[in-house]
Parts: sequence; structure tokens; C-alpha cells
Amino acid sequence: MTSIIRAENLSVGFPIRGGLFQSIRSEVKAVNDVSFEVEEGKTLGIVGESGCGKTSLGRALVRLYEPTQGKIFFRDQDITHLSSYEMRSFRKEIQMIFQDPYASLNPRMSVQQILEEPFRLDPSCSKEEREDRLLKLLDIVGMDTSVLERYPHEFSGGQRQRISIARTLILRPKLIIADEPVSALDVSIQAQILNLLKELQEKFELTYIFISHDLGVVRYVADVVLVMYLGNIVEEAPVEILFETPKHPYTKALLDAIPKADPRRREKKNILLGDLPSPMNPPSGCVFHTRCPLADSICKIKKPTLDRQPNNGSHKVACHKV
Amino acid sequence: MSQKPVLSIKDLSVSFATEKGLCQAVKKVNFAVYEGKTLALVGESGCGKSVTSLAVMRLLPDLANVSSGSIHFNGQDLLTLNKNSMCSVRGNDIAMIFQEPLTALNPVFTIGEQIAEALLIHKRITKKQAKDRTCELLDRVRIPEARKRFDEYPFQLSGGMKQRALIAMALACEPKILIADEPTTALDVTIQAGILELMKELQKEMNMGIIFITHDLGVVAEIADAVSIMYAGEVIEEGDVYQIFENPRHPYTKGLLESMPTLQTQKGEKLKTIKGSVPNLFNRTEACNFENRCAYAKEVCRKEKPFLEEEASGAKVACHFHRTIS
Repeated sequence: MTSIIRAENLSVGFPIRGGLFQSIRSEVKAVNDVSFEVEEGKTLGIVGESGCGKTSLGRALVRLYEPTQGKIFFRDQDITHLSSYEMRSFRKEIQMIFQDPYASLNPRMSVQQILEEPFRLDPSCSKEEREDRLLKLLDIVGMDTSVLERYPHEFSGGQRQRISIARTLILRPKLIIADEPVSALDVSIQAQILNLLKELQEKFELTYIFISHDLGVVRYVADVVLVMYLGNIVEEAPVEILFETPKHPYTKALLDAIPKADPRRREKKNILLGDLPSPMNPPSGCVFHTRCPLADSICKIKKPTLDRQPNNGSHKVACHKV
Repeated sequence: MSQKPVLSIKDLSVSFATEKGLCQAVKKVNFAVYEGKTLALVGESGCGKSVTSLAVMRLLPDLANVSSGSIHFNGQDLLTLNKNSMCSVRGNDIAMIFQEPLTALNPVFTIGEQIAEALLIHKRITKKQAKDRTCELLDRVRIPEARKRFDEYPFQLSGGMKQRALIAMALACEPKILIADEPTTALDVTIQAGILELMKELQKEMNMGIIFITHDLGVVAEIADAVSIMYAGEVIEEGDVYQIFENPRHPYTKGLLESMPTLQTQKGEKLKTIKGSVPNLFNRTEACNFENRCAYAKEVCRKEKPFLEEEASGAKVACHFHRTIS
């Protein structure tokens, strides 16, 4: 059991500027003191609602955002403070798939140019080798060579996502961070892309960090799931355990809120009251206490730690009431 | 159903004249909406569900041309009404809520002003009365501190709150028909659950018919009474919600239901997919629209378009092989 990527007490903050000289007034903590690791060849799912910090966390892991605190280890090497030049050798191994295939492909580049661009990180790769990989990958993602001369606007959303997946894989990375890769697609296309991602994982022994708000999708792809709320991890568990015996009241509410595709099971739901508090001014103590049905005085004062459950060490929950 | 429908659409076709030629976005669509019931129009992007709803509101862009059909509401055909009479129907008898609560609200007016506007246009009341009624409405859609929110601008509200404000606006004149175009798609699941609950409650209270447009079958199972599945601008299957989920007939409906990863999907199990993608709407042929993606397609599917046939159960399917498939 080796971890490919590990985060230790990672925080990501964004400064809020204001006033005459745009001085830094305060900081929004998008990700707050988060620690986890991902085993090689497995999929870590990160779920949560908008504004919970899942995208910031994903981007911080590839150093698209600079972490304000904590450390990131890739295969036991600390990459938190590497310069962009030093990062280059790691960029080959860590790649990203983005949510919106309409925005993530440059409209002025042909598919061939798009797929060859990553080789700038790997100039040692010969021309034949490039050609060979490109054709093989196109085949794997289910497209033919006629697409090479065409431009992104000529493709549908699902096809574009296939192109961006091919671009992600062309340098043969080991770790892929997929930020809502299927949310912009229709259900019938979504299933095609999910199957493709699974096939690729087996074929290339990939590790995924799969960020999504859709719990049905996460349940299908992930081995381990992190549930985030307002920048904090509130629960972490292997996927079966999380979906069968969720412990944190937020996870329970989240699971309960998913519409079940069965018209005979229209039961009344336990709907969370209120809105997500502003991350600029997060609640004291447990961040969830303002909406939690179980909250009492201790939750307002003391922040719970992410503790291992006594009967199962891989299940961790941050709640005073469990 | 012996009850008379509030709104009935017959043979509605809409086409767009574009540079590339004529695009038939909606073709011979029929459906009816009943008092106090919810009809879900389901389909993937580009299937014509939004165009159908815009046609009902007479809000189609100039490029669009309603080439045939009728939309009967309250004993009159909405398509024949002049501008002024349509204005008195729109927002008053038939109201609409949109997908993006952010873009549907005007950023330079307060929430209160925007809701009161509908009341001042359609009802003969004073500004003071309109304000009181607006606060009542905000209260009804469970926006806390309604009096304070009345003077706030859209950017001060969260996504869920904005959608609640839009619902309040749509319901201001107690419409008989509410068209909801993907009202919860842009929202988080926990917020979505609250909005769906609210819509069900208000429907009971006001006894209005709802046309609920969505691509999310989970949401359909929660809210719909009747379902029409659209594909490439045509209705390919309709029935009550139990028939659609428990006994889908059309291969496309089956495919949609099976390709959805649910909380019941087993890990490691491959998701069923519908291969290929939607046909282009410019060159419609005589073939069944779904023929190129259908696992059951035979010679006849390429030659002849199937009609929407009524079954003994009352459900309707447009497929040559619907009896043999299921």
C-alpha cells in the first residue's frame, strides 16, 4: 500500500483586498487544514456542494493555486514549494481534466495541435513516438484520425471531453485530477465517458482524484470518498461504508437529498435549513453547526477533529455527536 | 382522464431559419396539462423541450417559425392572440421560471420591485398593496425576513434564495399554468430538495398545472404525474410516471434509465450506454430518429418513421418494435 499523493494540513486561502491601496483586508479560507492520501491505482472521490472548496483543493494539488499552509507530497517528495521549472517534471505525471469541455479547449487550435501541445513538457520524445501515441490514444478514446484537422467547435460536448481526455493522457501521467468531468454532459453521454475513464484506469494503472457534486457518479467511480463542507473534510470513508452507514449529519442530509429514480419512494426528506454560511466569515466551532439538527453548545465552541471510528480505522468523521 | 385539460398542445411544429438551412427543432408535438398535475418534459440538450415551452409563452426569437399546430388555453388558441392579449395571459395566467436564477433577475432592481412589477401590471392595485402582497409571497416561499429582503438586490441573495424569489415572482398572479424550465439544475442537491418540496406544496395550494422541463430523471420521479420523453424534437414516449419508470417501452427511455448511475448501481458494474449521439436536425429523413443509436433497429426503422401509438394501458410509444422489446 503506497500512496501516490499525500496532503498534510493543507490550506488554501485567497486574500480579500479593499480600500484605497487595495491592501489585504482578510482572507477567505477555501480549504482549511486538510489531510489525506491517495493509494496508487485507486480513485479518491471528493464531494460537496458549490463553495465547499473541492475545486480549490484539486487545483492546489497540481499547484495551480498556491497552498497557504501545509505540504503536498508526490511519491514522498515534497512538491509544495518547487519552482515552476522544477514542477515541470511532475507535470508530466500529474494531469487534470476540467469540467467544461467548451472552455478547456483552445478554439484556435486544431485537434492535432491540442494533442501535441503537452509534448512541450517532454521534448525528448521523438516525432515517431509522438505520432504513434497520438494515433493510439485517439483510438482508445473512440475517435478516428479524421478529427485531427478539425477544430473544437465542430464537436459535441461528449466528443470534446474525449479530446480533452486524450490530451490529458498523452504524456502517460500516473495521477489524474478530474474536476467534474461529466457534469456538463447529458446522461447518455455521461455514461460513455464514465465507462471510458474506468477502462483507462485499468489499462494505464491510473490514479484518479475525482471531484464531483453528483453522489451517484462518485459512488460509481470512487474507492474512497471525502465529503467536504465549507473547506473542511467532515467525513472520509471507503465508498460502500460511506453510502451504507454515513455518520456525519451533513453526509446523511446530502444522501437524503438525492432524488431517487423511483416514483413510489417519494418520502418526505430531512431538508437542511438555511444556506451555506459565507466562507469569509465561517461559523465558530464546528462549521456545520448553523444547519445541523444535532448541534448543541459544544458544537458552537469547539471544532471537532477528523477522528477514526473505533470499529473501522478507515472511516473518519469530524463530529462531536457521533 | 375525463377531466378537461387546462392547456393542450396539438401538432406543434417549430422551425428555425438559419444560414445552414431550415432546422426543425420541434415536430408535431402533442400534450395536455391538467389542473393540479405536473407534466414532466424530459430529454437531453437540443431535444426541443425548451423551444416547446417558449412557444407556449410566445417568447420564441424572431428566427423561429411556428409552422403548424395550436396551443389551446382557456378556450382560445394562444398562437392566434395579438400582442396585447398575449401580454395579459403571459405572467398572469401562464408564468415561467428559468434555469439560471442569476440571469433571470435584473441586477439593477431590488427583488421586491421585480416581484411587485408583475402585480402592478396585471392587477389593479396600489403600490402599497403590491408591496404587502410581495412580502406575503416572499414569506410564503420561505425567504426569511421578507421585509428586509424586499429592498435587497439579486447579488445579495444566494442561488437557492434567488430561485425562491423567482418562484414568488411567477406565482404573484396565481397562474393556472406554471412552466418550470430546469428550475433546479443550477442548484446543489440539498437546495434542490427544498425547492422541489416548495413547488409541490404551492401546487397543492393553488391547484395549478405545472410543466416541468428537466433532463434529470431522478427529479422527474420526485415530482411528475405524467411524463413525455422527447428526442430530436419529437415526443417518443408518454405515460404516467409509474409506467415510464417501471415499464419503459421505447429503447431510448430504457437507455436513459439504465445509463444513470444511481445509488443502487453496483460497483464495478459497467454502465449501459447509448452509443453515438443525437442526429442533426437539419436533414430530417423518413427514418426513425433514434435508428442510428438503437440496438433493436431493423430495416423498417430506416424506411418508416413510427407513430406515437396508444397502448391498452394508456401509455403512448413511437417505436415499431415496442411490443417485442419489452
